[in-house]
Amino acid sequence: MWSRPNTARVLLALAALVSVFVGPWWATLILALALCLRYRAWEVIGLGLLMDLLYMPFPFVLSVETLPWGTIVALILVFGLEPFRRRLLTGPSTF
Amino acid sequence: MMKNLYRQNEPQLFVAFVAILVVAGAIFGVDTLSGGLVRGYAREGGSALWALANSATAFVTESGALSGKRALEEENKALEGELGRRDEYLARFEALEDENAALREMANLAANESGITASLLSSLWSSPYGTFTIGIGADAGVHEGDVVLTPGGFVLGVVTNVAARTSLVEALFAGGKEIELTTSDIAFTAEGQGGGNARARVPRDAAVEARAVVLVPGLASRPAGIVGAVESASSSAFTSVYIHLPVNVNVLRYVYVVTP
Repeated sequence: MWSRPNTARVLLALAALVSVFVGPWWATLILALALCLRYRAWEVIGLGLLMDLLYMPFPFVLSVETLPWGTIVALILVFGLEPFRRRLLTGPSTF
Repeated sequence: MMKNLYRQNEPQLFVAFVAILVVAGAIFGVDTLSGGLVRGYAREGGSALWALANSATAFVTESGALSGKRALEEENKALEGELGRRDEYLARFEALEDENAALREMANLAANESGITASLLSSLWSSPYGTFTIGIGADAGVHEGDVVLTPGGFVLGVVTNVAARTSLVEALFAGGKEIELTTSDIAFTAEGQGGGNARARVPRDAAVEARAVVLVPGLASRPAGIVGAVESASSSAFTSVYIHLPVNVNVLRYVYVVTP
């Protein structure tokens, strides 16, 4: 079930989006971490994908040296932090 | 009640995970098969936002809208110091340019310096891969492998991906990247540290001096940076050499792309 996103989440996501283009990469990482700790933030995966598409200098091949790390880190943040987020911070969420 | 909710959510989460993997894999697959077409479109789309951000930054910094009197005084002092350093750099650079020209002639390296000036769209610090985007592409005759220089002629990076009106450049000193360099007839491998810096270890008896120019033999022996510091511990057989570009890469607005 989808619920209406709140203002804080929209602002955080927008700040992360702007940071992808003009901010340092670690600022994007911090904003994505904040989003994932509070919400099940699917948009973080989009941000990671966008970062790879914008900045990745090599074509994607299955090799450690040519992995899309932005997308991988985003997946780890969204899915890896989910149990921690649900149990300790916010409780179960379907969004 | 809570346990039931967890159980209901787990399969959904797993399905979402697999779906996202498939979609992301498809996007990267199409991009790889098309030779970087998806990345090219993404950067073309982003170029408008980058241009807007650069204009806004230039407006704010050049108008002095955020500068107080004290800040302006400090800036004035800093600029006076910078002017002195620039004079010193200029004299040093002219000497090195003469030396470089002589070396090129001796090595019979017919370097073709024809090229085009490009605006820098994205900043180096935005990319975790040590890359940045410039505002010209295939339409202007840019090709993969073209060398990108700072306004002073130092190698900044190499074009790795070209779209119609933008190109992606990988910095020579991108973090973790290994580069073959030479200075004063000493060849060594340096490791990029990002931000226009690199570090290398050379044998202790190698005569590497601070402020020596470092060249890239793989790129027609163009200058890549200056030795900033040389450190050696008495217990070590190696000397650490710290190399940096003579310009701050984060404030560069234009670069020069050497086209064949």
